[in-house]
Amino acid sequence: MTLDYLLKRIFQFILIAFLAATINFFFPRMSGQDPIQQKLMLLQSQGVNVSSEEVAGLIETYNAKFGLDQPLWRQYINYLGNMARFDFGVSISNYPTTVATMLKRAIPWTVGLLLTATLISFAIGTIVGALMAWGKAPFWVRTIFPAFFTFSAVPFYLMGIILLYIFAFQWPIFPLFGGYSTQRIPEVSWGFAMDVLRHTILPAFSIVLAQIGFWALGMRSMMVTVQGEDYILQAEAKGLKDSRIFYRYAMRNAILPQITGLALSLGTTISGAILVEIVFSYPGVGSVLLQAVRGFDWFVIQGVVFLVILSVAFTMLVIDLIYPLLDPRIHYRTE
Amino acid sequence: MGQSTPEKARLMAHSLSQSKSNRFQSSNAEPLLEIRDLHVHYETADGAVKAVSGVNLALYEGERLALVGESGCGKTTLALAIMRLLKPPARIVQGEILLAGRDLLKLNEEEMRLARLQDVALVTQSAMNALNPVMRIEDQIIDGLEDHGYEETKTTFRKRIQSLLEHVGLKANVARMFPHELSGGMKQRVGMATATALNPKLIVADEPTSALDVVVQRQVMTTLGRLQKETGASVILVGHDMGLIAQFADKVGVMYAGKLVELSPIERIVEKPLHPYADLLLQSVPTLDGKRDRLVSIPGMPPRLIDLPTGCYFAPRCPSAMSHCTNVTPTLQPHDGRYVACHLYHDINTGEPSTTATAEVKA
Repeated sequence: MTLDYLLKRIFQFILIAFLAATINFFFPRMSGQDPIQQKLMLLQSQGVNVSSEEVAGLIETYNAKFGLDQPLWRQYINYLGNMARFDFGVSISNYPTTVATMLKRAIPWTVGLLLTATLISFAIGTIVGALMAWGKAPFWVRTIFPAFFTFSAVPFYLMGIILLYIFAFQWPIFPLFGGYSTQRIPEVSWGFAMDVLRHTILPAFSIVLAQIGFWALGMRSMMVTVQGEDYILQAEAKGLKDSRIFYRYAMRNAILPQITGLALSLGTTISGAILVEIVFSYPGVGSVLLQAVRGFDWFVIQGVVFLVILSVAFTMLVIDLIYPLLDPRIHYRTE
Repeated sequence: MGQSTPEKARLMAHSLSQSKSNRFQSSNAEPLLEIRDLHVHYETADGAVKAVSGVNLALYEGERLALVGESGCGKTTLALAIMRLLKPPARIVQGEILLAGRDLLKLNEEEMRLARLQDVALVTQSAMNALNPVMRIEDQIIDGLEDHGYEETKTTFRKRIQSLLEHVGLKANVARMFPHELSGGMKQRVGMATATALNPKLIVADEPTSALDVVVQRQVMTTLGRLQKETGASVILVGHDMGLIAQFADKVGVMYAGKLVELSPIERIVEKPLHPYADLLLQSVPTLDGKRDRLVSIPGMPPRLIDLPTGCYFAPRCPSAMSHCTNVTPTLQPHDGRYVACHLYHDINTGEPSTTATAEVKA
């Protein structure tokens, strides 16, 4: 890999971020709606008595913040500057909390939950999928595991509700909702960590169950393809042990597309698993996003969308850079 | 029709090296490989496809045997059966494959695994894809050594691999390369280096030159020949390029519809094939003497292996077929120091050499 390529790739990344920010800026404005007006209308329709000071405060803040009285190009430049500093503005629903603060609070929960769940389901799904296609795998692996994939047909929010009903309601082994017990104060301690873990198990499990099938089916079909390759026959002709053929010849080659899939899915973890987070009242980005959508909190939506695009672009950058290590046929050389 | 055969024979015989007869061993020695009544079927929904039906074959130490025949006549199936690498629906129905007195078909999986590469090695058909794309060449050879109980340091392994690669005419730096960095010919050389890594007694080369250009084909065959001479291994070469085979093999086994129909020393079969099918097969080799005739081909198609005709399988296409050819199946019998399965040469009742046969062979 050359420095040229690295620079080119980083430039691409910045370009994507820039385009994402631009779309994020113009799309809402093209809708012809005014989020502040909407917010006020909503409050009024709910019969909330919005005091004139509050209204004035809101409008004043936004006018100052975005210079809404200024021409569009001026707003756009300001906006780009803010985005570059990860300043997504102030939440409408939770005024005067900034979007950045809300996201900072929610992201660790979401990333912690989804990263773990995705990695676990990837690992299990890939191995199981590989075994399912491996003729020499034990019979039970090839018969029992496919039955598990019926769970993949069940949407994971439904899975979540079922799990909650059984393991939190009928047998209260796990807590019913939340990311941690309400009486606890978030802190760095063993007790709190265990509490968080207990709260994570059911949501994580419902995601894992739902995703395993996805990874396993992908891996299985790749393994079937790879096993027809001549280098597998050659490996057998070399008198290699089955385990070596399985890992170093078959799986090693079949896993390459899976890794691309993993990178993409890791990139989107930051947006959260909205439905799971809602079912479990999990304090992650998904819940924040839902509330934002409900409350026409466009600045929060913009912030989340921007972050998602950024993180997908970033994981793609990372996967592109490490791919030559995984597949020697891919190398970046500038002629 | 058969006019050009003697010319071809001369052309082919011309390229035969004199050393060949030296390597030819007398048949009273113990054969290295003996295949007895081997049957391989592909089990399909419509019934068993009899890819190999009743092959008998003996190969002596240091001999080079070529198996020839049209596509789908069971050559590759036979080669893979020797390696026991056939996958379902293929099944070895009956028979014995004795390698140095040991029946490979009676070994358990682990014993057979160890026998591969150590006793019998394979050079595969498609050199282009026979190497794991994500591993360095040296690691792919080391894998084979390690799984046969060799525990050496990386440095010792590397030295070994270096000499293996040099033997097939590759530079030492190839060891650190990945398959996609090699040309087709280089890959096939790597294949041969791997096959000889543990000095097997038998090398099965399944069309090792397919998908290579003619110049490289020749280089590959020369290298295989040299390796054979150096290691003293026996070689079974599966192919259909009579030109290459004539330059390489000592003996030729002609296969038709899963049966061996003729087994002869190369010089003799090129001069005068016994079996009508072998004769037609040799006639279909284009000449190099400038005459631009139409290419000769054998009329008709090989039989469907799922419902084979009674009698001789070749009878429906055979120009010399006699009335009993469609009823009585000929067996492989000795004839004049060669083996042939044809009623032209053997009396159908006694199996004794037929008296009228020689006269009936194509004029």
